[in-house]
Amino acid sequence: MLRLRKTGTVDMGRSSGKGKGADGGRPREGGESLAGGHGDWARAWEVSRRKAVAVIDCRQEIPCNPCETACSKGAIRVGEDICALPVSDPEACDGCGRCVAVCPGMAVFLLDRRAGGGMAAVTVPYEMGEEPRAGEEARAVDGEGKELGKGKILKVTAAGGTAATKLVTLEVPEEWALKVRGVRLREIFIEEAEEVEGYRGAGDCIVCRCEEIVRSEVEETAGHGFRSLAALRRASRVGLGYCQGRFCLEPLRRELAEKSGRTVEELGFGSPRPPLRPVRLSRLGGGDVRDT
Amino acid sequence: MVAGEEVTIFVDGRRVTARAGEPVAAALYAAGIRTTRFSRRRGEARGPFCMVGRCTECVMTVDGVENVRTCTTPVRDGMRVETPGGRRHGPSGA
Ligand code: SF4
Ligand code: SF4
Ligand code: FES
Repeated sequence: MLRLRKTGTVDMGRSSGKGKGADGGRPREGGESLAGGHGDWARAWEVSRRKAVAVIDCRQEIPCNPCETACSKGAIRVGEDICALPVSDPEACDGCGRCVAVCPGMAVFLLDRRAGGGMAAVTVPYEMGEEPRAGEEARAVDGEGKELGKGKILKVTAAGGTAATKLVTLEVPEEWALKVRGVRLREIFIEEAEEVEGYRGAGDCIVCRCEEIVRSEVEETAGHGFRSLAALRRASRVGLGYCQGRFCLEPLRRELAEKSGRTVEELGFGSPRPPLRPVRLSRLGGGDVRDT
Repeated sequence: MVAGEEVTIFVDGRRVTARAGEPVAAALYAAGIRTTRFSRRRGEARGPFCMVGRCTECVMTVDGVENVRTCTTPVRDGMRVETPGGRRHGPSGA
């Protein structure tokens, strides 16, 4: 069978539904996500009233399964198809946190609502230099690195993963419990406008790896008044390479939005068509099914 | 094939020891080879970037087949891996 389905999903920023787009895992909105989705968040949410459970927010169908192999309870299943999204079984999970520590995408966290009182304990991995300490305050951040607020560190453990990975358990209000993806021990000022500008001005960088287009070229082309992403792509070839814009389309839309004064929504999306990655013609003809 | 067993692959003719089951890109990395191809427009050295089969930075010619993503292709004993268009940065290529 062709393996296009597993690896070929390109969402290109259309973040409706089960977003598995090229956005690197944007957090779903807390409430609405409870309706289900992979890993069954609704069940995890219920079970977390009785015990700590793993919640998985893995969206990109990448070849990866450490979460499955780390779990001694068989509570996470990726299965034969290594690109499939992991599915968790909150009943089988004992909240050991091994999956949280090993996931290279920081896509798993533990949720524990036993304490009640509108508060939840969320356990996330931490790999920065500073020492998180129980009893101190830390900043909870969401999947985009935006600060949600402060919470008290309840516990710090060094469970599995690489030697440097620590698991930090933070007490947060239930409303944000499903949005927390990381902790920060101090404030980071990179959001300050001048700093971002300074960083941007630091030099040219590749925007589109496949077609080798650098930022200044995009800026120049965008400056010609293109009103749609499609036009920008035709004019510059940006995003038209092998990878079909998996890595560049989002930054491009933002750049073009800034230049054209339109919103990213107005600019539209690319229109990737199958096959979504280089495929040998013989495979399409049914001749050779090796995944080369 | 037993996972972890030593196998030999040939990278631009050079003998490289790899572990059965690992991706070609991992074997190259372990052997100190960081360059998988040279970009067409600027001729820059490129190497694995995403390591999960999405970006195509790691494509090489494998057993005569062009544009194979080495990060998601497991090594096989005797496999021939070649830099597309040839190595331009000397025989070690690292
Ligand atoms: S927390 Fe432990 S038991 Fe639960 S899914 Fe993760 S590894 Fe398995
Ligand atoms: S280890 Fe993390 S990134 Fe990999 S499949 Fe599991 S949840 Fe997804
Ligand atoms: S490193 Fe990105 S496709 Fe192989």
